[in-house]
This record gives sequence, structure tokens and C-alpha cells, in this order.
Amino acid sequence: MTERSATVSLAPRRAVSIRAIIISIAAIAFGFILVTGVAIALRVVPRASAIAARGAIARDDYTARTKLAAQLDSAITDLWTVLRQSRIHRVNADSVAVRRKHVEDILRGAGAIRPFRSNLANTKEFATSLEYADGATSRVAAALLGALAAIETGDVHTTEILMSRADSLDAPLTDRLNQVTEIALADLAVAEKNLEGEARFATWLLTVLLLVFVIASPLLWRLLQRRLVQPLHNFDTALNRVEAGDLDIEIPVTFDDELGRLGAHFNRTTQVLRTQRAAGERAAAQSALEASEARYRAAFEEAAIGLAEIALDGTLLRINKTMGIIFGRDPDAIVGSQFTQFVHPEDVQLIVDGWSHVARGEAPVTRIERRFIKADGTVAIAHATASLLRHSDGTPRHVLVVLSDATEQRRLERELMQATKLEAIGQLAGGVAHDFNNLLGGIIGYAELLEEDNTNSSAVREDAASIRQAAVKGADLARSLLALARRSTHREEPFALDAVIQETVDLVRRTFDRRVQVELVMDDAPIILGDRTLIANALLNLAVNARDAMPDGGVLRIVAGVQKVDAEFRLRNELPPHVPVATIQVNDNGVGMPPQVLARVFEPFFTTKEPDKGTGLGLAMAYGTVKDHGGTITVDSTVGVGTTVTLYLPCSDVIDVVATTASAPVLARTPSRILVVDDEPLIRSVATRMLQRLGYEVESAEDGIAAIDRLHADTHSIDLVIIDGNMPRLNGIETARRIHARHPELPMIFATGHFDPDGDEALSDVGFRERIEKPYSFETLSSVVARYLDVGNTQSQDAKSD
Amino acid sequence: MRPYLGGTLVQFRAIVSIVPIRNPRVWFAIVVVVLAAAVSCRSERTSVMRVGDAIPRNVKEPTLLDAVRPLLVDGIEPRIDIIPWSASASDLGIGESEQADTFIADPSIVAVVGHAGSKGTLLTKPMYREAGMPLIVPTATAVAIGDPASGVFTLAPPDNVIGAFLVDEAVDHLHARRVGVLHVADPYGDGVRDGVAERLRARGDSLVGSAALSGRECETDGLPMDAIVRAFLQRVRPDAVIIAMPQGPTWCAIRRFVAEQPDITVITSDSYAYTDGAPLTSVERAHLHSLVFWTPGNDSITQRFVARSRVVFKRDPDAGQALSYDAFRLIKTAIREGNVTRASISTWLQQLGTPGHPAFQGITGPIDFKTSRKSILHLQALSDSVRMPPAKQ
Repeated sequence: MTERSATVSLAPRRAVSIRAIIISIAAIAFGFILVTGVAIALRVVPRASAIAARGAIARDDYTARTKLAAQLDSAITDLWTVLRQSRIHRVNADSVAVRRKHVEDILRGAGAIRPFRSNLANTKEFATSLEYADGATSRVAAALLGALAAIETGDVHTTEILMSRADSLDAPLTDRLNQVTEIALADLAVAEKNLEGEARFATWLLTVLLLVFVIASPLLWRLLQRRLVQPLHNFDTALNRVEAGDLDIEIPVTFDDELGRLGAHFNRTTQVLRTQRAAGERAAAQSALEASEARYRAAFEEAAIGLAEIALDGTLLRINKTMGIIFGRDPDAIVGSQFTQFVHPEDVQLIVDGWSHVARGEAPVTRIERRFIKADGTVAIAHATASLLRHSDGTPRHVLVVLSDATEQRRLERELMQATKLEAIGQLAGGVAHDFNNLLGGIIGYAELLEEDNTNSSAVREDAASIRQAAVKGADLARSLLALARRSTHREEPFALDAVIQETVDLVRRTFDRRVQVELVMDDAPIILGDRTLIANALLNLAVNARDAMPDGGVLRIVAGVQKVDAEFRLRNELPPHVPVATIQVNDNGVGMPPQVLARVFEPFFTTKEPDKGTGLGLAMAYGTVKDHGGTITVDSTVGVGTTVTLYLPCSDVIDVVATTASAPVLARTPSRILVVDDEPLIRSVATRMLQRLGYEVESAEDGIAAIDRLHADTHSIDLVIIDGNMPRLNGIETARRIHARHPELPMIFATGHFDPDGDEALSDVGFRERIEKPYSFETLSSVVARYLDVGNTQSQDAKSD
Repeated sequence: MRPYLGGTLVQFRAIVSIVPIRNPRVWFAIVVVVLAAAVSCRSERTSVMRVGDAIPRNVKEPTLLDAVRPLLVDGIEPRIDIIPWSASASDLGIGESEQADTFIADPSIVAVVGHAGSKGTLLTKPMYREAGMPLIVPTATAVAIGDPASGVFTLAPPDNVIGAFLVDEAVDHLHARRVGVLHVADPYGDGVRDGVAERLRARGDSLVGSAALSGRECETDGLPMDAIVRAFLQRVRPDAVIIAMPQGPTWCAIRRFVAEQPDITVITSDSYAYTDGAPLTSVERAHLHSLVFWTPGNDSITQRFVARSRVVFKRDPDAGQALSYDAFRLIKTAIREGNVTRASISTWLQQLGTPGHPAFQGITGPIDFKTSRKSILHLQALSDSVRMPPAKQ
């Protein structure tokens, strides 16, 4: 098979059609065969048959005439015998009749001898000889019949004459018969010669026919090879390749005949099929491209990151939903706008500078942080990546900008930074507060001892009271610091939020400037589980900040209630799901805060107030308090309009609030021995004095090891153990675990200034019955101790009575 | 249809001068159409039905065909032509089969009349039968010839019928009591003899004797015939003898019989016709009765035939010529009635004498092939007969 490029340029030669060739060959062959057959059938065979028939007839004729001559000779001889007998005696009539009958039969036989349809020796000479022969036979027979008649009549003389005539006629008869035979044989010889000629003619004819075929066969084979076999082979090869799916094939068309035209048809068909296949492939590619485009469009539209196709001149060609969210705008509405319209003014120049590089394809932009202005004016922070996309020919098409919204990340980072600061402050405050509380515990304790000692003068007791109040304020400051650091051991008790708010509002109305108009709106009375003091302090701090924001007076509006909070807000601010959220909204119409100030309001010690008017802990403490209660806090502020701070606090499922009332110190009703374990001598001393004052026997240990040793020495003499949580060598938890392991019935009270070891459940696991916060008051200590010692004694007495 | 072109051209010119057509192309088209019509008319060739004359002829003398051709070929469609004998050596009697082959090979020949004798007819009968060629045999009388079913029709009655007729005439009219037969030893002579013997047996009598001869007994000196006649008379002692031999031996035998037995009655069959070439004395003629197939009638057809024969032959036609003429007329009539093939002519001939197909009225009498034509047989006392001109054998 020749390749297409080598064949298409060859024009087919004009040629006689294959049908004409086949018909011609068949006609010539048929003509030769027909001529030969006709010649043999019409000439050779009839002539040979005729010659054979003539030979047979000649043979029969010769046989018959020879037989006839013999019969005549026999009859003559017989009659001569009869004649001799007749001379002696009369011949019997029957004998004569028999012989006459015999001669008549010979005569009839002679008449019947005629060549029939043989054309044997059909010449006048032969006819004459035959006529003469027949005449001679008839004459001999006539003589013999006459002789027999003469014998019958007894006329011997006539008989002899006729017999002699018969003899004389018999010799010419033989000659005539021989002559006829010779003519017939000569005719037969001629016929045989003609037969040989016919045989030679037939042989020549067949030889010529054979030679023609021998000579013509290679030519015919060559002709058929070129015109039929080779084209058919080409078709076979081509069709096999087409069957295998190869359409890039064409059949060489050499001759303009049937197969040539068929080949041309085949080539046109394969060309059409190639075109259709190419169209199908293009359609498939187009379909795949469209599918890819659809997938790209879907991925583009549904991508979780912002995607934008931007023309080289900065025009937005297409943006996805996420990009719209980042911009805070409808994607379709901003297509066609300039990209820089939505860039933060401070970042526009940076964008423009980087864009020129990207548009020229010099270097892509990767993860640079830029700010964008949303439709509501807020700022979105995003990581931007820009790369130039090109057409298939390499020319620039557009720039693909990828924006990853980092606003939330930045917020979390700020919160983390806030938490980190608070953690540092907490570490500092926790360490200070412990020692500070120990000191204050000693001061408060001794001051109360002095105040409770009736032996002292009123002046001393008043001084002691002043010392105690100052120490209590110090303790509150310590608690504030711990609350700020979220390290305080705030109380977990349900309380009515409306009462706390109302108390705070009452306080504010009494103490704030009259120009500040305080409004309170409460729709509900939610119950909060937590520390009401901390909540009240946070609310008071917010009110103070609002007042300070309105130096010339204004409206302080406090709105409280239960609000519906959507799931996204709960998730983002770690609010528990499916729990009603109480909100306290503190709003003022003061000076407001710019964004840069707003971004730092929760930072500890950050304040815009004068140095003597603020500590910078108000909002920070409120933030810590709210977070400790599982809630969150938001601030919305506009310069010149005002500020709104909203507290979100999860509601408690407790519906009843137990009211607590103060009571006098409880004196010991039974003699009991208490072991006070604290590494601080002042605390051991004042606790010992307080408990002894309450009527208890008190022993002390400077740390956990000493306490354990004391208990090992005499366990039954100790009824209660008060253990400080933070001690060197062995802390309070480990000390309690070891004591509880050997003395599980011994009640223990955990005293702590700030330490919060995983909640009360962990304390109960190591055997603590109660926790008391330092610095504890005389009243608090007496009530806690009395709750276990009196009960335990009561239980012991009940057991003894049983 | 033969168009008269001269007249056509004249008419054409007249039409051209009258019809107001001046466009040469129109006239050319008209001429083409007219010529095409003329050629088509011209191409309608006339049909000629040919009949073979299988009666051997001697080209030196006129034949029956010369006499009857004007009577048969009349130009009426379809025309009829008669193809004469053309085989060589016809005078020696060996061209019968060759002539039959010639006729059979010519597809235009639809029927054949002939052959002259029983020998030649029997020789060619199978050939005509195989070829489906109807053959009307006018004079041959061999019993084996007549076979209408195979297309061979004889106008003369067969030999046995002739023999029977001669017996009836000899016994009933000539009052013969002892009838003998002298005949040639060939199918014809044997047939007559058998017919005589059969008829005598039928009549309660018997053939008193017969003798077969070669026909050459009268050559040279007639000595064999003398001996044979004497022996025949001595052995048979007939009062009437029927001779069925050719012309020459018959004449010779008649003379010997009359010489040996003056009161004998000699009856010759159809093979003998008295001529001037074989003169008989009045005594001899007085004993002679001869069988004839036909005597001329007075009808116009016969008279035209006789007149035509007299012009050609210078004498009256004999019975054989009359039968041959009837044979040609039969075929002509068959063709004119629409039978133009060999098969249809055979069928037409076979149907003669059947209801709806009356017998053909020939100059020799009514012709059909259902029964032998015994009616044409007539025994003529030569003493009363009209001398006929001599005819060539």
C-alpha cells in the first residue's frame, strides 16, 4: 500500500473497463472454443460419422453382393447337377419348385441390396456399375428361372442353352461385382483420406487453440494481476486497516475503471470518515473543555477562598462568592469595577506597585497581606496571591488573584495576644496575690481578733476595724487581679441577673453625676451560674467607662434580657449551643472610639484616660469575668456617636436562687483538735488564734511532710485538718492524697489564695470536704469548721448511742 | 404490397406544390417519414411456399412440372413454387435419398410430391417421416408406403387392393376359374400376388399358381420367358393370368401366353400401359385386359390439364401424371387454406374425409386418406380402349 502523499497526485489512467476486458476475454475464449467446437461438431464429426457409415454400408454391401454371387454360383452348380440328373430321369416337380423358390429369393435379395442414405460412391460410374451388376444378376436369375422351367417341361436342350447362358452371364456378373466393390473401396479410401484430413484439421484447430491459450495466458495473467488482483489486494489491505480503526489510508487509483472508481469512492468515503472523526474529536474536546470550564467555574464559584479574574488594566472580570464575602458585596454587582476601589487606601500604592510586575509576568505575588474595605466600611484582611495567566500562544490573558480571608485569623491572633497578656498578668497576679492574700489574711485575722476582743478599748477596736476594712479592700484588689488573670476562684452559685443589674444601677444612679441620665430596660430575669460579685464589678466598670466617655453628660442606657443568638455567633464566640443567652447592653452617646482604639480596648492597662483616672483594667477585667462565665463581650463604637458594649452570658438551668445571709461566728460545741497545715507562719498563727478563740484545740504543721508525720504519730487526736494549697516540698493536694490514703475518715479543708486545681471534683477525689478561700474571715472559718466537727461529733454521738 | 414509386413521386410533387409549407426542414422531415414508411412497406416481403417435386426427370424431355406449373403457380398469395428434382444420377435410380435430403434441408419446402416407384418411396419414407415433411405419393402402390399418421399419403390404392380388384374383375366379369399370377420378384409384384391370393381365399378359391421373374427374361431372345410361360401353363393351367411386371416383360409375356394358350385371359396390373412401342396384334389385344387408374373426365379442370399436357407432351396425360397433378393441387389447396407449415399441411391432409373436412375433389376423383381409393381402379379391355399416345417409361 502506497502512502497517500505518494498516490493522491497520480491521476488514474484512462483504461478499458474490467467488465469489457472480462467480456472480451470470455468472448474471445468462447469464440475460439465455439469455432473449434462448431468446426468439430459440424464438420469433423458429421464427416467422420458419414465416412464411418459409408464404410459400414460398403462393407455390408460388399458382403451382401459376395454372398449373392456365391448363392448364384451355388445355384448354377446345383442346376447343372439337376440337368445331368434330368437326362437320366424326370426331375421331381417339388424339387424344381424348391430350386425355383431359391432362385426367386436370390432375385429378391439382389433387389434389396441398395446403399441407403450413404452417398456411397454416388457417382454415375458407380451407379452404372451397380445397375449393370443388378442387371447381370437379374439376367443370370432369369436364365436360371428359364432353365428350371425347361427342366420342369423336360426340355433339356433349352435347359442346356439357358444354363450355358447363365454360366456365360455369371463371369461378367462377378466382374461387375468386383468392379462395384473396387469403386466402393476406392470411394472408401477417398473417404478415409478425407477422414485423415478432418482429423488433421481438428488436430490443427486444437493445437492453434492451445497455442493461443499458452501465449495468451501470461498476458492475461499480467492483465488480471494489474487490473484485478492487485487492486483487490489493495482493497483487502485497506479494509483491514479501516477495520482496525485506521482511516488515514487511501487506495492508489491507477486506472479509470470499475475498481479505480470504487477506489476513488473508498478514498472519498475514508476522507469523509476522517472529517467526521475529526469533527467528533473536536466535539469531544469541546465537550471536555466545556466540562472542564464548568468544573472550573463551579470550583471557582464554590471555592472557600476568594478568586478573582482581573484584566491587566485592573478591571474585575469575574469574582467568586467568597471574594464577594471578603469584599462584602454582590459579586455580579462589582464585575467591571476597578480592583483598587476595594483596597484599603493605605494599601493601594502597594497593590499598584506589585500589579505592574504581575501584569508583565515578571514575578507572581505570593501571600502578601492586604486590607480591603467592605461595603459596610469594615476592614477585611486577606492574604493575596496573584499570578498572570496566558493564552495558548503565550500572550497575557488576565491575572488570577487569590484572596484568603485572614480577618478572623487576625482577630484570633489578637485574642491570643490578649490571652497571652492576661496569662502573663495572671502569672504575675497569681504569684503576688498568694503572698498578698497571706499577708492580708494575717492582717484581717489579727484585726478581727482585736476587734472581737472585748477587753480592748473602743478606740483599739475601731482602729482594728479600720485595719480590717483596709485589708478587705486589699483582698478585693487581689481578687480583681485574679479575676483579670482568670485565676480567681470565683464562686459558682446561681443568682438572678436582674438583681445584680438593679443593685449596680442603683449604685450608679446614687454616685454618678446628675448629667448622666441612666436608663434601664430589662425584659427578663435570667438566672446566671457564677460569681455575682464579679459580674457586678464588670457591669460597674462598664458604667464607669460610659460615664467617663460622657464628660458633659449623656444617656447611659442599660438593656438586659435574653436574646436569640445564631449558631455562627455561638460558634465563633465559643458560646454553648442550645442554651439561652442573657445579654447586658451598656450604651452611651459619648465621644466614641476610633478603630485603632477599639482594637485595643481589652488590653490590660490600656487606657485613654488621664493617669490618675484609670488603671486600664476595667474592660480587661470585664472581658476576663465574662469569659470565666462562658460568655463573650463585644464593643461597637463610632467616634462622635457613642459606644455600645454587650455582655453575652449563658443562662443557668437552675430556676431557684438560694439567698445567703450573714451570721455570727459559730463556737465549738464539742472539744475537737484541729491540725492547721500552712507554710506561712503568720497564717498558721492567726488561724491557730481564731480556732482557739472558737474553742478548738489547735496544732499546726509547717508543711505537708510535718503534717503527715504528726498524723502518723497520733491519728485519733486530730479531728480536722486545714491544709494550705500552695506549700513547698509537698503541696496541699499531694499532702491530702497521702493523708486520705491512711486516714480516709479524717475530714480535710482546702485553704487557698488563688490556686484552682481542676475544680472541686479533684479536691473531693483526694479527700477534701470543703474549700475555704484566703484570706478568710473569722466568721467564714468558724462556720466551715463547725460544719464538719459538730456534725462529725454528732455522728459519733449518734453512733455511741446506737 | 408493392408501392408504385413513380406515381408516389408525382403525387408528392403535387402535394408540395399545393401545401403551403416553405420550410425545407419540415419537408425534409416529411420526406424522411415517407421514406421510412415506404421502406417499411417494401420490407414486407412476400411469402413463397415451396413444394418439392420428387418425381425423377430426364432433363432432355419435358416433365409433368413443365405442364402443370402454369396451372399451379398463379401469383395469388401465398404464392406457391415447385422445386424440381435436382439430384444427380437420377436416371439410374440412385438419387432418391439424396433428393429427399435436399428437400428436407430446405425449410421453405413444406411438402413433397413423389417418389415415382415403390422402391424409391420405401427408401425415402423414413427420411420424410423423421423430418415431418408431408409426402404425397401419387403412383407407388406398395402396401408398406401408405401411412397418413406419419405424413405419407398415397393417392393410388395399395398392391393388395389392386390384386383383390383384379381377382374380382377376373372372376366376376371375365368368369375366370383358375387364376395364376406372373409377377416380378420385388415388393410390388409380391404385393399384387399376395392381394390376389388373399382375395381368392376370401372368395373360397385359391391361387392356382404364381411365378416370380426377374424382369429380364425377355432380353436377348426371350428364351427364358418362353420356358417360364410354358412351364407355368403346364404346371398351373390357368384360364386367366394376372401379370404384374414392368412394361417390357409384360408385353413379352402376353405374347407368349397368347401363343401358348390362345383362350387365356391376360390381365395386366397398373405397371403396364399399352403403347405404340410394344405393339400387340388384335388377337393378342383381344385377350388382354389392363388396369388403369384414371381416364380424363369432362370437367374444366381436367380439360385444362389435358389441354396443357397436350401442348407440352403432345399427347394426353397418363394416370400417373393425373395423380401427380392432384397431389400438387392438394398441397396448393392446403396452403391456400392457411396451412403454411409441414405439420399443418400434414394435419390438413389427415383431416380430409372427416366431419367438417370433405374429401378433396381431384381430377382423379374424391381424395381422402381414410380408405384406399379403390374407386379409381378400372379394368379396361384393350380391345375397346382408345389408343393412347406412347408414353415414356
